[in-house]
Amino acid sequence: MLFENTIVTVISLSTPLIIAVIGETISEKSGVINLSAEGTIMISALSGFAFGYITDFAIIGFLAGMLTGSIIAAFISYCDIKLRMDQIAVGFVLTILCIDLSNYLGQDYVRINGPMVTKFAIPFISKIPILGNVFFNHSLITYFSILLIPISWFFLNKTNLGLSIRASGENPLAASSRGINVKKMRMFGTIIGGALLGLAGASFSLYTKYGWSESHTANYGWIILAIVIFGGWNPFRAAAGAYGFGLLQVLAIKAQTVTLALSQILPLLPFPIMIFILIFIQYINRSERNKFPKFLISILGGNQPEALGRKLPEDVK
Amino acid sequence: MNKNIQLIQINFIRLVLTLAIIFFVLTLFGTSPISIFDSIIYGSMGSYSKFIRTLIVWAPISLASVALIYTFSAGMWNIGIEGQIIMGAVGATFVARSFFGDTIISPYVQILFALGFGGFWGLICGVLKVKGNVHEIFSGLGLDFVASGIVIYLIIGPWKREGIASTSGTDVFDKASWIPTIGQNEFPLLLILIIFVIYIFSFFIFKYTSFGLRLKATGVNEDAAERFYFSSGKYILLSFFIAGAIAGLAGFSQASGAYHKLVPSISGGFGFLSILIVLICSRNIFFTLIISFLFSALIVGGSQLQIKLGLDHSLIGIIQALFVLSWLILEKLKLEKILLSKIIRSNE
Amino acid sequence: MKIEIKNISKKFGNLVANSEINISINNGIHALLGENGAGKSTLVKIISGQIAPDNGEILIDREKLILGSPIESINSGVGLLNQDPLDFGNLSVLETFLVGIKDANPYRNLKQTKENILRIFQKYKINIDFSQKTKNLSIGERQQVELLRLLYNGAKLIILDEPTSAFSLEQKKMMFETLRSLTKEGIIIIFVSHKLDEIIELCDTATILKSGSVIHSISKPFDSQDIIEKMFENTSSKIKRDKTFTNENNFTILVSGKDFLGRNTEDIEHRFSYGSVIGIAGLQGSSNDSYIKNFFTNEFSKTKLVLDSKVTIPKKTYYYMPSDRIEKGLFRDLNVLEHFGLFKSSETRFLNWNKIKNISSKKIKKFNIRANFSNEVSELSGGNQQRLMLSLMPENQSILLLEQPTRGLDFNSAENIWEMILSRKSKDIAIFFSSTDIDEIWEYSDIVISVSGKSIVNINYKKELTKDKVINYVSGIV
Repeated sequence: MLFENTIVTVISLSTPLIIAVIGETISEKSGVINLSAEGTIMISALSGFAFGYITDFAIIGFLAGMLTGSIIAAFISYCDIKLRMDQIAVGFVLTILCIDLSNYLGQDYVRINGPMVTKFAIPFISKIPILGNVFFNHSLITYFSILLIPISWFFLNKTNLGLSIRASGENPLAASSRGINVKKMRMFGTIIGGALLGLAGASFSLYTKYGWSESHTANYGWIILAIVIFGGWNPFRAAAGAYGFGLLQVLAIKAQTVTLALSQILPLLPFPIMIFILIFIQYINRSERNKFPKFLISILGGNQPEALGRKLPEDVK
Repeated sequence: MNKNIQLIQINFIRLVLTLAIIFFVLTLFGTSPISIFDSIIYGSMGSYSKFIRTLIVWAPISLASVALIYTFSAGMWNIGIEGQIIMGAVGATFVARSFFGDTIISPYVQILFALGFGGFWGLICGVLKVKGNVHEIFSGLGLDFVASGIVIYLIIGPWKREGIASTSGTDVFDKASWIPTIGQNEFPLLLILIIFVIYIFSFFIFKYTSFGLRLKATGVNEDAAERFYFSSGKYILLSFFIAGAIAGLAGFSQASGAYHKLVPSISGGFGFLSILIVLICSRNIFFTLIISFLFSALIVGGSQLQIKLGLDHSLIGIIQALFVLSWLILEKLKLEKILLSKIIRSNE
Repeated sequence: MKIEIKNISKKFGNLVANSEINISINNGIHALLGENGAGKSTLVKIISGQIAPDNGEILIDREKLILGSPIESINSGVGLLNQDPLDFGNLSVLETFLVGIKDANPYRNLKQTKENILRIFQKYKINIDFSQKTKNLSIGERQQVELLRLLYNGAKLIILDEPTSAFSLEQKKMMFETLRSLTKEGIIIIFVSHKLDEIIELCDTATILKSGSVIHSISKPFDSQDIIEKMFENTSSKIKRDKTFTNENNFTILVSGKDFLGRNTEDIEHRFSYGSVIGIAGLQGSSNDSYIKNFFTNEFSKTKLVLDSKVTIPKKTYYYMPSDRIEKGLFRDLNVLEHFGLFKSSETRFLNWNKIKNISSKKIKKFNIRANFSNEVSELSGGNQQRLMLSLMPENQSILLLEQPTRGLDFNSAENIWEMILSRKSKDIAIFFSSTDIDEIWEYSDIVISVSGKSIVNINYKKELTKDKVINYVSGIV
């Protein structure tokens, strides 16, 4: 029973994280590091909650969050492609700007009640013992997050558009010489990714971390950047990382009663793990691949898009 | 010479445009920009004690900013600066809690430890970059959080306050461990001296030493370095070490100058703020000194906004980030050049 | 199938890259020949849509090609195979194949698409596992995949831009067979290469370009001597520079172990006297530049220099000047004075700018650099950048390693650079330079090292060579 409840909590608590890591993964696959994740999630959490509150429809809140995220991503894309600015610099400044902006604009919404996302048990299958309760008795946004994992994987790996996005993130020059509109692909990947980050923000304030307060989603944006790397730019692994982090959070809450120190430090675990993963990726890229057991590479290795974070070459049309 | 005058003109026009954008946004928020800036100036420099408070905030920001010039010169994004500040504060707290704590030499020993702890934390980033080829943004971000994890652990673990374990911080340091001040208003002479020594030292390094020039060259073109018989890796490592050490001093200033204890958010986000500052100062040490002071005045003056105008202090962060964002974009749009040539043409 | 190139002209600033080019190809394999800078690559870029010409038109089967757009060229059946594979190392071979494929949605019926692709692989007898990552293939295999991809997408005109430089002999044979069988299907191939032996073996017709214009159109049977004469017709005035120069000290080049392909070769020693100017001749795309660089970095082979005195040569004695001045040689955002400071930085910890200014103004004058101290190097012209690099040479005895020292410079600047280089003859241990301009090699070298592809074909004193011999060597005719 305890075990079952833990899984239920982890799945629902990880909802925004899943959405966000998949958004960031799509963005990075197109070659753009959306470093503003921390700020984007926070301000979308506010806009999601605020619009939900004003209209009293949670769905409007989710849409508002998505729109906020895509506007920020579109801005980054404009600076990246049209102004040829450093993605990192723009993303970083936007992070700081969005955090303060959300705190300023959110003053009227602190600790009030708005629309709430309720659980929606899927008829019949939710009655299946244990499994039904674990997987089919959640809110709609949680179902969406679970569905998003295979959908995004399918989109990236099994559709033409996904392939074009990945090709643009790997080698923009080659993609462009094959007639792909690299600028458009990059912009598309960034904006889709940003929209998902925004949706993640709204799912914090409308669901898993209900309401709004100052710096409501602090640090989650930085954490998802780490989880994307943990995920090796693969939606399934990234999702596993997000659930792993959800589990850490649940453990941290449980540990609170035992020792305060552990509960504070557990949520920080993804960061050292991220560093080790990065070292490992670089290490296997440099040395003979077959020196490592295959399963280790598939768990810890990763396909970092080759053009990630770089400006487009001048020759790209 | 002509080039310099043009540069000043362009920067001036850019400044005016940037401020116009900020005024516009503030008006959009339904606030009065004039009264906000009035209140900020009064709040940060309206009295001697307010000015002192500004100096206490300026110290860590100016130090962290100049630290970042080293890594930016080497072409590195030192997002790990927050962690380096935190570790500097840990170093200082370690000394303050040791048997040095109640002696008069405590602050000076703290300086050494802050330099060492911060430098070490910076060096990790450098080693990961040079030896492990790990992007400095991700390692820096990770190390920031690891550092804050360490602080939280220390505060609620080994360094917890007598009897209670809470996240409100350690015990207040013995007075001897506070950064010495002068006069009734507690003018932080030692801190100001440290700032000036570091700035003059850095000015000298970048202007008159082979080291500074090579650092700059590393940032421009890592590949060409070998042709001039030096290894860029060594200079990247050194830049991270020095940046970390100076950021460590900022942590020392926070722990022993501002809070007089170790608290979980000891860096106050000043590391990230410094990144904003350095982004617009393009490695100019003099600009960095001035902009960091203005940004500190904004912070201290902004804390008055709530009382005087009923406005949230987060408005200050908005002003700062907006300033930097507008500046960077205007720099790319090159509007000023067009404007300038129009002005000159209309004068002819 | 017929392609007609009509009156194509393209200028870059003052430089005429293509002038009134007319070529008509009806079938077979057509070679595009010419020296470095003759305008071949500009023409290739115009046909493939990467750049738009100032004038002229291209007709494919009497249909006018819309110029300046890669997609238009692709849709009209133009396929370009680059010198280096332009593909996606991290994607699987199948995915690499699918990027930009003609099928509207290859994933909708992936099984069918896969079968189609497999069929084309089988047809040309190429056996590659689709599921592995592209970067696990050899360069040759990647080029083969790329060629098949062009065919699959319906290319009727395939341009190969020096594709064979990284091929093994086996792969080359296979590739040539494939190309020949393609012409039987009516596909036209434009083959850009410097290697005459390949061209003679493979091509049916050829166009020779010089200084941006077509100077000859020829067809089979080819006479290699005739082509060489036409390609290398003398343009520059011949200046006699046979100043006799002797030095009793000798040094040795140890060509040891492996060539750049990693093949084992015999260890060879060559002894030359101090002050020799050693020209490393090779055509564009050959390894003559790497040979020069290797003395400084030792990254390709163990080839090294040994002095008779057996003293090890300190690193600071080498002065390496890369051909890519602004990307590899200089620091884009640093100004001229700072470069001189950097030059001094290996001697002192502290920089005395007054002293550096003194030295710099002397050097600026001596090397005739037209720039101020405060100019960033990216603001300098190519000639001035090159003179700046030369002025940063060590003052004492050194080994100069100059990669294409006059690349992209006009005649006068080049002459000027050479005067400066030759003035160091009596001081330096050796002056190495690489060039793709055979006239330049012939004019200034005492010793010529001929490189074809990735191998050294010949090392000899100039007095025992003729210019034609060198041309034969670098063209791969031994």
